[in-house]
Amino acid sequence: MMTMALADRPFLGSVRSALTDRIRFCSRCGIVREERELGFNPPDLERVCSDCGMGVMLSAGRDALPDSRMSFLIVTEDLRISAVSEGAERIFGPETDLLGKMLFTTLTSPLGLEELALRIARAAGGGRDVVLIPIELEHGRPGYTRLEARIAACGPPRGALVTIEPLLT
Amino acid sequence: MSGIRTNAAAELLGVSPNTLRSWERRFGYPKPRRTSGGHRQYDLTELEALRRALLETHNISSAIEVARQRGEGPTSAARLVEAYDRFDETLADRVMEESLAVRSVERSVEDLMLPALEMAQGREGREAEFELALRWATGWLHAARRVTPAATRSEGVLLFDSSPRLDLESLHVQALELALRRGGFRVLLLSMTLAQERLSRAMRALDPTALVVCGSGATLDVVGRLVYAVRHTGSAARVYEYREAMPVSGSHAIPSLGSRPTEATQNMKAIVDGRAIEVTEELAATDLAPATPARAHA
Repeated sequence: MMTMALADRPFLGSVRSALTDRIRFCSRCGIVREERELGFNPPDLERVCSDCGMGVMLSAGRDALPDSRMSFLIVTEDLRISAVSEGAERIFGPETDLLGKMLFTTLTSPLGLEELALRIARAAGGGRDVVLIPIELEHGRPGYTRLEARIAACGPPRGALVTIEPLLT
Repeated sequence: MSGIRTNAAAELLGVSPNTLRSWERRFGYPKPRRTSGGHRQYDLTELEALRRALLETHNISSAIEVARQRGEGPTSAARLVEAYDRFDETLADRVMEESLAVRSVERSVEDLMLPALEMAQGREGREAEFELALRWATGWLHAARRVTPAATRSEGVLLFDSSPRLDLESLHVQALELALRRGGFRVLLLSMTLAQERLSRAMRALDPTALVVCGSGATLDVVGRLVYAVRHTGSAARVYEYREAMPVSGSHAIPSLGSRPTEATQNMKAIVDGRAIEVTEELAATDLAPATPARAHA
């Protein structure tokens, strides 16, 4: 993967400036691609993930999704879950049970629902910040107790990319 | 129906033929026909609906769901709901315009607008979208009413709306008003809560052939007082209900005009033309349709 290669091989650093700050990722399998690789194609021609065929390719800032195949949800501005990655299914359950549900039926935050809702609504509205916020699962599964969410904008259509990561202490 | 083969369909959507077949297995969509030689033949309308839906959603199953609903016709109620959900009145207007290209005003209201409002109603957290939908639909119906030709029939119909506020039933009443006007009737729509003494001038002006109880908030008491007030003006207009607006049924029920604007309009035409209609004529038996004010009061 290009982002890892750049991190691992500093001599490729000069390439970085040629790349955009954005990536594209599959809403289902989570594979990440460089935006630039797809730049010459109209977006709708590369809309469906060519790897899994079960997700749509969305755009996000490079910081929004640090790695391929991470666990994430995509949430609309009205705080409904609109996509569930395969990784997130292992944490939250089947996609079919989650699509269209309010996010708060799935996760909350010790900082308060208001704070979490505000961050997500801002991201889904197109805000540029990437924020980390601790979260708690509403129906916690064993092994997923200390988590945080990385919240950033993605699209089109606009949505909030909520990437679930272990909480680093 | 125009159809294209698998490779062309896959290219149109920017996916591999295998992906297209896997969607068919998993979601049953897009659903190709088979040629006599057994080859898949995809419907262009479905593919175009899916291509558009893929751009508007975050996952494949939602895109397929949206496309499936849109694939039902050139314009569907789902597209109107989509416009409501985006608070996009221009898009809602456009959807109705597209519908009017292939449907009559009555069909566009019945097959598109009212079903879309029903779909938009009662969704948790979508109250604002529903209110926008109601207000937009009210505006659309009013605009359509303004361009309705003058009445071609001498008979008048007085609609009494019992809806306590702007809600789905009140939109059904407005749709009925539009359909009756377009059917050539002289129509007046009033609130059922109107004070009795305010009715007489309206009754004299319209001289209605029929009174129709509509809306979601009728009570026996209010209907009884209304009919009394109408009879008090000397009117012998017959009383009907629309969409089960009456709070009672059975032997006390008054005849129904039906539950759809076109159905009610056809029935009203049949009534005034003296033809048989498919409603139960129990008016004579009801306590709510007395011949004289005194009996109504009793």
